[in-house]
Amino acid sequence: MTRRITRRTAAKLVLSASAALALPNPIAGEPAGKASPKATLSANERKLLDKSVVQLRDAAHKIQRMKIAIGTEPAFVFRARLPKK
Amino acid sequence: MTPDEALDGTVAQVAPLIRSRQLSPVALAEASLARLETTGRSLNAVATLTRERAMEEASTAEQEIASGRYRGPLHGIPYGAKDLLATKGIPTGWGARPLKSQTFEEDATVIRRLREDGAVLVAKLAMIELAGGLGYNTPAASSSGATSNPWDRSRWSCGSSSGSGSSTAAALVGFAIGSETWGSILCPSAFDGVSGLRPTYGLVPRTGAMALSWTMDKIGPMARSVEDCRLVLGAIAGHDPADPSSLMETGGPEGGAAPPTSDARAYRVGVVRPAFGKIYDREVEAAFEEAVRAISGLGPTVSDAKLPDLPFDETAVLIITVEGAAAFEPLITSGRVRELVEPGAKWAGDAARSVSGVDYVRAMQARRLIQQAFAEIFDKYDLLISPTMPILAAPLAEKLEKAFAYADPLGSGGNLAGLPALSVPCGFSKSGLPIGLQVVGRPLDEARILTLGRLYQENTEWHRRRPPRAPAKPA
Repeated sequence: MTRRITRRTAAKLVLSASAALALPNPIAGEPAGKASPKATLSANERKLLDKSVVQLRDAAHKIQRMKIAIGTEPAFVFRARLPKK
Repeated sequence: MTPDEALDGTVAQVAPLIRSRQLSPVALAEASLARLETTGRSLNAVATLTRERAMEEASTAEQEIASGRYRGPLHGIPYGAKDLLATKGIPTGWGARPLKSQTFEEDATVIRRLREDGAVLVAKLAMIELAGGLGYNTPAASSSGATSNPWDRSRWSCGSSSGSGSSTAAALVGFAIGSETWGSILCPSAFDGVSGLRPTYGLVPRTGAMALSWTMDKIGPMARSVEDCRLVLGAIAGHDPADPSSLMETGGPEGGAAPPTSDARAYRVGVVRPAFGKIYDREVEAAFEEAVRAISGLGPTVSDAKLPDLPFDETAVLIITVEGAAAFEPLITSGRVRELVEPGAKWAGDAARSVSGVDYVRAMQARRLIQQAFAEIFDKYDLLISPTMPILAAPLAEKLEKAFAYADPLGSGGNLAGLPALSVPCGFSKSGLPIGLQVVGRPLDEARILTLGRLYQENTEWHRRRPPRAPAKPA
């Protein structure tokens, strides 16, 4: 679930008030001025959304329970681009 | 051989006839367009017919061949492309109602390469909306409606490359291009009884293709033989500087499709018997065991293989959910997601946002361990085989969460690790539905996969069967 984050909360989270307070306003998962599609869901649709969220959390928990050594490089695919000569 | 009869053949069978001018590319394109217009429409396999472009490309092919400029085995062959590959000036709707009239100014790299090899684009083929990127629970989740299976029209062709599977099986096209993030080439290949190849991640460029999951999307051929898959892969594979994920090293002069030179008798083949439980169709099981015996009889060393206990499916779900929601963010925030057929797409963005950045990176770490696990498996085996799907083609009316309620570790794990895989027909149910055999290999080891697949098809007849023709409608 997205939760609108305040500058103060952001400051607490990143443990650096000055950096967080310097972030542009608003700090949120959605573009400014856009209503969340969630707001227009019916009761049944909200129930189904909640079910999806639970399924994703279960999946995340299963991965959290894995033994992953510190420093394990995530499997992103990325290649540095060298400057053109 | 008439153009209509030729259309039932494979690329490898038809190409010499075109080269020797016994078969006209223009006549072949007309035959293909006629089938697409009738059978294709009735199967819901077509997104857009590309008649004008097809006739222009076919005429060019005919003139070039007449003047001695033969470009190779795809010259003059009609093909269809999944409707997520950009084609200049022709709608590319990604199977989604809100994007139905979307057009691009350039061809996708794969389309351009096929044009350079003289192939003739006859249709953009139906697909599940956004390739299932915001989830789907019914075969009807497409702007084209549900695509029927030509072997039984009350059954689904599978997705998301629905039209590519259905039209290749019904011989409406010489071959088709599909794409896979998790199962979208292999499942239609199994359900529709065609040969389909999911290439190594990064082998085939995605420039001009819809992005669902940047770290998992692959583009590959679907055809009526393994040899045809090899020919098409040879045309579309290879580095593309415009695609940041495109591999520099592609495993050989034909980009992973190098002609098989090694002896398949030296291969070590691991058999992954799925723990599908009750959902494992007994007819699929019987056909698979017969295929194992057949492969064993061809010479390779065959023994049981076991996948480690890792959260394959969960990792794939998290990564695809998050990347899909990011890919389609403009549709989500604009509210146009509500125009999609799948009701769940409305809240897919909110669901995806419940996954934290940490969870996503952890999933990517898990993915690294999954890659390592497969590398260890491939120390012992050269190839893995398994049923492509544990079930027969699902009824069109069935909810997919019910039909597909089983773990798919080789499917999810293979895609997470970027491994190439092939599906070939290995039998039929008593009711006449195709059954697929999956062959998985090391990254960039397409040549070995194709060698085993070709050897299997040289010794079996399953891939030669064609679905029944629909009765002609009265005038």
